[in-house]
Amino acid sequence: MTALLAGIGAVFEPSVLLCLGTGLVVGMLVGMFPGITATMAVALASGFTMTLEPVQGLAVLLTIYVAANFGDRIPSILINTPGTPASIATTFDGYPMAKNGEAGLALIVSALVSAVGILASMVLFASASVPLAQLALKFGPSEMFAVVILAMTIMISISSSSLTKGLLAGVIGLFIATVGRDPITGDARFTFGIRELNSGLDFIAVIIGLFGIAELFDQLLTHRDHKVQPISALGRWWPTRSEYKRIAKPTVISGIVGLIVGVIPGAGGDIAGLLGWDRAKSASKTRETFGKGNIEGVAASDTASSATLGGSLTTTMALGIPGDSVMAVMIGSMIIWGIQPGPSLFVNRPALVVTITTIMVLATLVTLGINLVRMPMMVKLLDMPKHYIWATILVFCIIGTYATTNNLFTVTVMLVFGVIGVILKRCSIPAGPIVLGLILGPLAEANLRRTLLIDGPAGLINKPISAVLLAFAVIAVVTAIATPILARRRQKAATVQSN
Amino acid sequence: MIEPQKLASTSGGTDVSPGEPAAEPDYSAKPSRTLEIAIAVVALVLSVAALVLSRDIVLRMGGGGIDPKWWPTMLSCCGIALSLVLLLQAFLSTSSHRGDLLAIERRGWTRMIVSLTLSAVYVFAWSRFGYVVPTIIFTGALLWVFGLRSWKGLVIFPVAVAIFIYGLFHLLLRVPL
Amino acid sequence: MKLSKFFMQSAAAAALFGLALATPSFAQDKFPSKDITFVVQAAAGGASDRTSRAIAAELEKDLGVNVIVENRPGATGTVAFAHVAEQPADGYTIGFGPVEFAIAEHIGYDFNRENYTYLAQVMDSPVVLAVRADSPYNTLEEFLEAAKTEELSVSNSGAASAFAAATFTLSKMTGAKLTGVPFDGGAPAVAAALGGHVDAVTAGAGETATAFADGTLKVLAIFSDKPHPMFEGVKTAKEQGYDLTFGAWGGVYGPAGIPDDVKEILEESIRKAVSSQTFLDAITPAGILPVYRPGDEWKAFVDAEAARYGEMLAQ
Repeated sequence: MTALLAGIGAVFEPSVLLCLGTGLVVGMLVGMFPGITATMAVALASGFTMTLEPVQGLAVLLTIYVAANFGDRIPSILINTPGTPASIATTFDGYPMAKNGEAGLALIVSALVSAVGILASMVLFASASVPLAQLALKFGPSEMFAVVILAMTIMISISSSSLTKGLLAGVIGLFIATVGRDPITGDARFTFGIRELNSGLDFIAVIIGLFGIAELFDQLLTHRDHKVQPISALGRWWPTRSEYKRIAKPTVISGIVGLIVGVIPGAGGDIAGLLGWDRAKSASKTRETFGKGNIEGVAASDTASSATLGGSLTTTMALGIPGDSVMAVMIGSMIIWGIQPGPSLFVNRPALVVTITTIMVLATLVTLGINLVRMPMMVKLLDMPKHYIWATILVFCIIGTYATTNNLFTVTVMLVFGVIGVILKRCSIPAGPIVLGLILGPLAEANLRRTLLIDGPAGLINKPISAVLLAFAVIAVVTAIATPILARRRQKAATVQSN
Repeated sequence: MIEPQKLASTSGGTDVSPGEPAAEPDYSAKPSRTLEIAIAVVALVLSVAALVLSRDIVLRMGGGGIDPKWWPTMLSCCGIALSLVLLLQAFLSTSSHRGDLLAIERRGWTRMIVSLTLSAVYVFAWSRFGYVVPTIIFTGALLWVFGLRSWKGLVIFPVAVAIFIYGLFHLLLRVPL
Repeated sequence: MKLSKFFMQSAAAAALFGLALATPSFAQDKFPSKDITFVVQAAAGGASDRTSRAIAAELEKDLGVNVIVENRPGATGTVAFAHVAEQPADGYTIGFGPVEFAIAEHIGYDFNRENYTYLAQVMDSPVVLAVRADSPYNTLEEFLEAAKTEELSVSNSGAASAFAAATFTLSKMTGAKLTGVPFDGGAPAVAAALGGHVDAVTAGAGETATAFADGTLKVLAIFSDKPHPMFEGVKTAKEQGYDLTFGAWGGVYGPAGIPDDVKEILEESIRKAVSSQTFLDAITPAGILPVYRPGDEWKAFVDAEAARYGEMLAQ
């Protein structure tokens, strides 16, 4: 009880609140900028926070983490450019909603469910960190491989118009991901003597190119001055009562997905967002409009990816093993402050655990409040004449990509993928499966080969978790193939009968 | 490009139904069998090229079994199979539609190619002359290409953007530009 | 119109800003008279970045100019090394040179150790071999003995790294059957050992310290000359009869041909930085040990390491 009070009280010091405010400003600024990730902001900020008191420093870094997660969604919805990988799935329904004139509604729903996701995950963090972390350790290479294979089945559901093209896109993504050094032997693959390619194609540059720049180029190609563009029409802000009811189910389903994925080390908001979107789609009554501007899709992707925050915090604090790249940086800072993450943290310093929870909750609530107020201003930006918007997007994407590596090669990669992206778009080959392939490819290959190194082929099936997950994957593929065939047969039978 | 009338009329992608008088002209992209065949052929060629490149990966320590060549080889084989299916579909299917894609506008090509060229020149100029001046010129040039003609906007907006970015990155985040 | 008002205000701000930029910095003859760029070969946040920023902060205090840290990650660090090699050798561009200086050339990178001026070694992060707390092995001897009859798996932080080389060399030297399993970084490698998916892990001291302190991981050996302060009671490999040292060391370098007077100033400043308390506070909690070797000595060490890794990686 005293720990609880002391932990909460530690946050409500003026200096700590000031740090929280600083983190908020930095986090919201970088979140909006495509390419600048929370990881980068936290890493750079940790240089300044080293000399602060631990609680003050945690306030800055955790608030950046939270605020960037919110800000991330804005460019995804407004200009189809995921600020970071975690908001890829947001573009699926968020941007179509904006194009239908519902940008305001999409932004508000996104902010609300992001808050729900983070708060739910913090409940889990505060109540069950240590047992959950033990569960997380059960995920070794063979289990990870099974998770990845299960996640790959999403390719089927995000292939909107043509299944063949969707799968082809997935293969393109998986193949692009092999550029660079082999994960097990370190041999160079498809580097063509270009030094930079040894570390693979920069993921952020590729997604900004495929989504943001490709969309911009498509607009440049097809824009007609006299045609009304509904994107800047504000539309409604707040969901109606029936819309709240509609988003309840996807929020719960994808929230659970996000919580589970968040605890698995090595799987983060990107995979969670896609999986959550997919699960919500298959459970929805209006699944055929998913990907075309369905409010349930936005709710699902953002709840799931936000719900991973508490999960990564759990593995980080309870095991000392970073749950995601932001947490990897955070651990470095915490050790400098003399905080040793691990199971003993929860026994020896319960007040600190309460403080961390309080900071996260407070940061979430304040960011939500500010976001709800500033959204109208954000959308008004789109009322600017087209030439300003286009020029700004192009410049911001170039600078944002440059800042990830300080190397103009990365900018070139982004522009090349912008051109590839617009060609694929004109060919109706979807970008979603490509990105999914990019994320999952290295995980699939490396974990499969690690499993084989450790146990040989038997390693895949003699562990209960991986065997069950692989069975799920098989079921998912079989149903996906069988459903349309069965439906067609039934239809045929019906026509025969009526004749 | 050949655009068979039959395909167009069965297309599910057009929003304007042919019966009613269109309030505005139909700008959606027209489906095209030739395009679909071309896509499949290009995909096939690229997949075969990928397969050849995969077999050519140089291994430092000798291969065999599940070596670095194995995964890309498998992927390019999948690519070949999918391209063949796509080719078959392009010949057989009648229901290809292009979703909500819009048709390309006449000036569109110029706009896109010029902004791409400008970006390339900008990247080069940045590496040569530093961040500030190229960014201002680049932003201004883009605005002009996109149709802005007011000199105030052409000068003030680029300067403001350059300063905002410089402030955020160079000063706040200490990322040297 | 609101927009134009916004632009006018921005223009005013711009003018002020331009004025600030234009303030001339008086040229001086003595080094350093302008900002120094410190190139890091890894992304912000890791051990290299942490060490570099700590050094840069100390250099800034000592030399009285800004030392700007620039992250240029990619291709095992060779993107950054190549960039530094191309800069003028005036001492205004320096960088962080990690153990990859000795490895890159052996794994197919276009990299030449002779293209650089070696200023000083500043740190070393020794490799440790650890097993899960409930593992039957308590010493390096027991572990290697068991590996002679059955194949044991050892996770490490990445292919062709110092950590992978440690496993490989250990098995080659003793005939123990050890399978190295590379992971994507030290943390997942440690997690795999904690979860019992592999039999042991070779990782940096910092990455295993948390689990060691919590008692979930037993450290069997530390591959370093002397015991590590964070691992009380753990013997070095040498003390257990295996004369092997492995470490993720690092130092400060610049392009080849930095004039001797400038080199001296930098060397002296780095020496002071390494012995400063702030530097110690920044790196030791992460398991990194401050190690100082002046430029020439460090160069000889790099050459020796390169020869050693050449043998290990040639197979």
